[in-house]
Amino acid sequence: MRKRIISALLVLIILIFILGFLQLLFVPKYMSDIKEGALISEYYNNVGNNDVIFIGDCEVYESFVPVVMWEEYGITSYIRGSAQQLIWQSYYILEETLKYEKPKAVVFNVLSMKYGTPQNEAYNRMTLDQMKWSDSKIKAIKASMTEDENLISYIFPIFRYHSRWNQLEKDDFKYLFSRDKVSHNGYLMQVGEVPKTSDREGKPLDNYEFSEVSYKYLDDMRKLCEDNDIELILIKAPTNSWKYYWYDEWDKQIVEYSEKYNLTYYNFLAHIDEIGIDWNTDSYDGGIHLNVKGAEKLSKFFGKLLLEDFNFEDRRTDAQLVSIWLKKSEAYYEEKAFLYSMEENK
Amino acid sequence: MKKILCFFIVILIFILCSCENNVAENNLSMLYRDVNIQIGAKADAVIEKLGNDYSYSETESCAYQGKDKIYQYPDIDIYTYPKNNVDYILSVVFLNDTVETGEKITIGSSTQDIIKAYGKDNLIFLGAEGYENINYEKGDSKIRMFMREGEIYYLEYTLITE
Repeated sequence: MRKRIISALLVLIILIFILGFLQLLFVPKYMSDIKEGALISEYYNNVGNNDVIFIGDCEVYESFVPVVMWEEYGITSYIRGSAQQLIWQSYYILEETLKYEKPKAVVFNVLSMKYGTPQNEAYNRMTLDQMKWSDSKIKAIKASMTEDENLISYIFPIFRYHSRWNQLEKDDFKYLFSRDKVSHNGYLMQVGEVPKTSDREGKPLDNYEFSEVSYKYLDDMRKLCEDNDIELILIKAPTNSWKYYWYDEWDKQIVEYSEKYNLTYYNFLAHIDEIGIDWNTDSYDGGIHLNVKGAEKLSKFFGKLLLEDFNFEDRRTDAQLVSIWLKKSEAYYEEKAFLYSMEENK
Repeated sequence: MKKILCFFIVILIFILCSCENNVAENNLSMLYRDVNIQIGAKADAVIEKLGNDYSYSETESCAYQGKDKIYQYPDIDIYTYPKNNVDYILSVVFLNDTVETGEKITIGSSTQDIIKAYGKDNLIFLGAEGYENINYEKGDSKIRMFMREGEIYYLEYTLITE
């Protein structure tokens, strides 16, 4: 009897080991392609000592360069952005972040107010699969799942990714147990230059009112910041295209909300010239996102606003921080030079 | 022992199962240049039949989840969306009054024309005054008609996405 139990346990352990290994193998690695999927998890190696935390969609991780804000103004920051990060995901990511550190300001990009319902599994995965397990993650998953998704596939991703068995690539083996760094404090560098050629506006909408769900999570975010004595700053990145269009009717609602609760709201679309953005050179995809040139300009502009409007302290007198950020700067310029050399050889 | 093995075999079978989604076939369609354009249908064949006299633009989705495309013909814009590496027709926007819906509604048609063509009970009236935006739905698609001073200024066939 005892022998049977031991055998059964051994078989069980071996099967669990095999399933665990297959799960590691089948999950997307987001290393060579779709690096956006690796952004959220990189924060866990950079927690603490951030004056500013950015949260939101691609308009944060492609628009702000923490290294530039450090070099120009001595402001430390981290971008907890991810592709199509929905507002409830932003809220739960903020909730999780505050368990690690208390920044002076949280900067939230308001474009995601447009979504009141779960949208797309691929984007959900890029945000949620990368979060460490916590009650915040579970709540984020439950709020985000589309009709075709289920919680069990987030707990055991092999249920979702088993069908990748015939699409495995070199990266799936290379990054089986560890991953490379893809961002610079959450900033994902793009050096391509594709001019913006179209001023096509967004299609008219049936209803311009943001949903109750969006307002609920914006309220939650505001209260969470208030409870922790953190400044919540609302922004709209300076990018606009027909697909990701920022309507005047939406802007009016954010202006009203920020006035009602005494929040600061910067709509950078109204400051394109002051920032110095040139749509011929400062976007990598025809004006949907900024490239590194545009993001550096916006970071200088925004860092100055933070210093002037919120009296941020210049922390470049802190020797320990100087040492840490020197390494970050070196990595940043190294990748920049590498990507530009790749671009020239295209 | 056998029970444990059976349990894991069941799990593996469950894991190896997968399913496909189909695009609804009961959607609205319209005629342009004698080509039937059905909302939600595959785009390639339609574009090929319509001819090459279009201007083209595309937009990359965030994190490379495919490209949304616009084919701009003299009288209509056709928007497509990608799914599993195939482009489907998302919407058709009328650019002038030379194109009509199957019920002879076009840019410039009045609220009364729309009610006469589709029947009041089949229409959805939106907007503060109730007549600023009129929708007609069928399957997973709808016609959106935006009104100004009692006449359509924007008309679009589109997939219902939410």
